[in-house]
Amino acid sequence: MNAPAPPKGLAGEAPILALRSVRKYFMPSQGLASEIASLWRKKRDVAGSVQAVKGLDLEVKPGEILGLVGESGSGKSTLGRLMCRLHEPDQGQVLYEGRDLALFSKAELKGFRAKVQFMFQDPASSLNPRLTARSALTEGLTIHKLGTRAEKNLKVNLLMEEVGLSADLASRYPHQFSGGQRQRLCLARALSLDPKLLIADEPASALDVSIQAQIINLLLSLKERRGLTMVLISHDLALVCLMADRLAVMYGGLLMEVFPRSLLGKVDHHPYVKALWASIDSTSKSDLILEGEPPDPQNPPPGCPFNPRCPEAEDICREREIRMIRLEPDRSCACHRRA
Amino acid sequence: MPENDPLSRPAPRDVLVKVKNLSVGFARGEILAVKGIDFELLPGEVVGLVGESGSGKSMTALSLMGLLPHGATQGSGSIFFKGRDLAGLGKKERRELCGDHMGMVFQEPLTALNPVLTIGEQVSEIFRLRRGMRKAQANKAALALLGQVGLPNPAEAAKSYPHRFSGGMRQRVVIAMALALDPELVIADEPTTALDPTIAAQIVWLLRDMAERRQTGVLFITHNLRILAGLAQRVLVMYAGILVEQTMGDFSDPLHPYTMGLLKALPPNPSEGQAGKLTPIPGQPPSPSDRFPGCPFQPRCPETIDLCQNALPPMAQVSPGRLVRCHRRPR
Repeated sequence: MNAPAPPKGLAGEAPILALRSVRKYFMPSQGLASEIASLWRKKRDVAGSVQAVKGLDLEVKPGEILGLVGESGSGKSTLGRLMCRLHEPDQGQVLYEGRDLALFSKAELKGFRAKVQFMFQDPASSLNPRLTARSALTEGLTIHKLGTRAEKNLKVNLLMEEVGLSADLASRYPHQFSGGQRQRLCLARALSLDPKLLIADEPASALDVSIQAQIINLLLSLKERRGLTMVLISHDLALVCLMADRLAVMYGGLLMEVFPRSLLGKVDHHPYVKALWASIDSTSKSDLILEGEPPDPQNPPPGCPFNPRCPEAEDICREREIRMIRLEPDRSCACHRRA
Repeated sequence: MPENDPLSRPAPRDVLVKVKNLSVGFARGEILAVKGIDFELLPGEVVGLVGESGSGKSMTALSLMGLLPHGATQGSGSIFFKGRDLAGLGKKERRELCGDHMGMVFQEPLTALNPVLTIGEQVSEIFRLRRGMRKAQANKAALALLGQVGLPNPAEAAKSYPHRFSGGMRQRVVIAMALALDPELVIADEPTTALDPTIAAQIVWLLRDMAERRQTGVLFITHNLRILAGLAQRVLVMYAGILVEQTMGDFSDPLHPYTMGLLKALPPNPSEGQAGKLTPIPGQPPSPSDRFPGCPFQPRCPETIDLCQNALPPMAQVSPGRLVRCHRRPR
């Protein structure tokens, strides 16, 4: 419902990954009694559930960095997890190279998992503390039965070098690395199976500024060298603008605006995009600072999810749901005032 | 305010806080988190303290409040509050200082609030214990305060428990508690780090507004340089336990190579710069257990000379209010 049909005449640029009207619900924990009751009913009670992703369409084009921006609770991490099938959609489809993931056989899914890799936000908790760097990096190769032991060792050395770690460190355990080194290790692990698409969830937000820049530059140079496609999930608009070719801004489980980086500031953006931009530093005027809080996911407002905080809200925003409308060839926006 | 409180009488000096050669150590001083820092804070002034993790900025804040964690001790140096040496204060006097004269806003508002007490109980407790108010009177004061920090429905909020609140709302409550007794100084230790950008902007505005209206001095500790731009009059930059620079709040003319490096490592504001690569600072900050005779930034510094390895440069005044600790400055 939320987006226009796929663009025509762009056959050469078939998306590597496409989401079609994807929805994802989560059941809030309501205690044992209601859980037993729902088992009894043997079906999910959609009425009481929380919609983390509310039916949205998005495409990832080969070779691009797509920046997914939003605040906590906006659904951006859920969307990232839907993209690599860490979550399965409750409605809609996730298409990988044009084919629905739900129809993949077990073997095909295994191949998909090698080609689409996920990098988690917190490097400390996403590395197994009992595995050395070498074991962490060879695990994927072993599962996919790639290479002999000698070949795997060589691959580990190359990977470590590629992310700027000395190969001597391969016998160390995660706690012996610094935060920045751990994030490099996570990156090496994600690259070990030569993926086509890398989904990075807040890759630098757990790091200090001076280390953050090292990781960002590394991601950018790897993207170039390997021709990677990337989805960058972040709450930091400045960071996303630096890295991404295209931005997708989420709020309350919906996309608010999708636009190329080159258009930033040159068009009449969605009010939420303007507010995010204004919050980058504290010199902006107070009237650009949003009042209120993001919507309660269990009790979202009627109409546009942003309407209670929107400085431009009108009656229609409180009544009618928003739809993504294409305003320019490569820019879509979900705002009644801009439709 | 209790009548026997020595600090309620105005001190002759203007300086609110004066920190002299403060150091904080762990393991009997084997490891130094803060290695001798000096600074002053004037009444009503907002000062930023920036640094990366491990630079000692939080330890500085905690030693000001007298809240150093177990195992950490204040080594050399002294802290003067309104001209009075805090080291000479007993436990009871120190306790009276906290709240009445100094308030603290912590990074993680959820752990700063007691989960088994309602918001109203926690806020009114301050007025009951420290101002000797009756319950009804204290509740009234608490509601007024919660309204001032922008909670939309104070009466409803007072009856709720902290877990019902969002991060931003919790931080408003923590700010309310820090300001409850109208202290002269508020120490805010990374108050916006756990918050989303639009909410962080609200909290910065709230702090700035409250501080201005009450003429409260604020020590605002953060690793986010941008957030200080419209907030702080002065910024202290910390690296590996020492102060390396004191500069303007908007970082318009940084002098120390570390400050310059930090600014270059930051993703540019999209309205200013076009996409491109960042310039990271190579290497990593030293570990607190490392000992070196020279400048701690020397191994990462692009401008290093032989002298930097052997001698720690002194803090030198470049112009009024601007200090830098570097052998290569002023050039």
